Amino acid sequence: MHALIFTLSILLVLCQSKTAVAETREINAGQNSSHGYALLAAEFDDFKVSGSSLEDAIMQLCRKWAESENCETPAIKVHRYVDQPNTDG
Amino acid sequence: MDERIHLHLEGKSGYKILKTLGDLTGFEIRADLWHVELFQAPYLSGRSSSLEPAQQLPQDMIDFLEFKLKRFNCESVSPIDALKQIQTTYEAESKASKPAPPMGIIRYAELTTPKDKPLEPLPNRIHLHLQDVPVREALRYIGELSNCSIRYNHHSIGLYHLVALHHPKPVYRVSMQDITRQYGQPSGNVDEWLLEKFDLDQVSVWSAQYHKNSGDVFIVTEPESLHKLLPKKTLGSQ
Repeated sequence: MHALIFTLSILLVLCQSKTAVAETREINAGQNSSHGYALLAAEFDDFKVSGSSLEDAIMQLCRKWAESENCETPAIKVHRYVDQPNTDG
Repeated sequence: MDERIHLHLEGKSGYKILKTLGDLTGFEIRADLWHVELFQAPYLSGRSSSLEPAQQLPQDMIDFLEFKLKRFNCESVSPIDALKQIQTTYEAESKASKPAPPMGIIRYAELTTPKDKPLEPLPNRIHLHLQDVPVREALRYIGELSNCSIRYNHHSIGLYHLVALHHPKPVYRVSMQDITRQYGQPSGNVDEWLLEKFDLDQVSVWSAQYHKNSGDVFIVTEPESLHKLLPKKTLGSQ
């Protein structure tokens, strides 16, 4: 019984302390999303990123591909967990 | 913390590049009917370099890590170029049918770094002269010389610059009165206003959070940065 109460208490604390929420960032929103599949099979001679965020690196990949294919950049979604904004302020 | 990626790949498919970006940063690729999507995995599936490469790693990866480099020399090169040199040396010496796995460096941006601002490459320069050393050992030296922790992922190898995570900065409690004395009255969202007022090109601030009920502002920064933000004479308490 004590073990059950202890486990429930831990679970309650863990639930309350969760501050990260899922957020979706759509890269090149509104562009032709089906191009994303074509991007997967495309060949890249040289791809280099230096100190870029994941989203910027993907954006760079999309632009490089769109330039070589002379078409719109593909839309790609990135789902990540972010901290909830401070609501006390 | 936002991760910042240093990566150089040649002759790879878009899938392989996205897969490597995701592998290094803890994202998995999925696709629905309309979109290619990357989902953040709740954990990094890779293994720390302090553990022996396990059977769970693909055989290609184990072969790569155990391969003995006859000669590996690099003189004053950046960590990312040292990784590139390991790849080319391996591919030249091993004559393996499979290329070396992609390798990249992940840094972590401070909370207040704008998302679109690239992080400078690691400042370290690598000087290494090795003979008959397994790739795994050479990677370990590069990791140590660039203050990085190595992680073997399933399809890639990441060097993670964890110094920032393992060297926490002090938290200062500053009265809002001291802030307003220096910067005037806040407007709008106080947390955002604070970061606008602080000259983030000159100081390194991880976080500045306002607690309305107590009137305190909690600033995570180095002591020298705090003194630049708030000259000592205006500080009421720390």
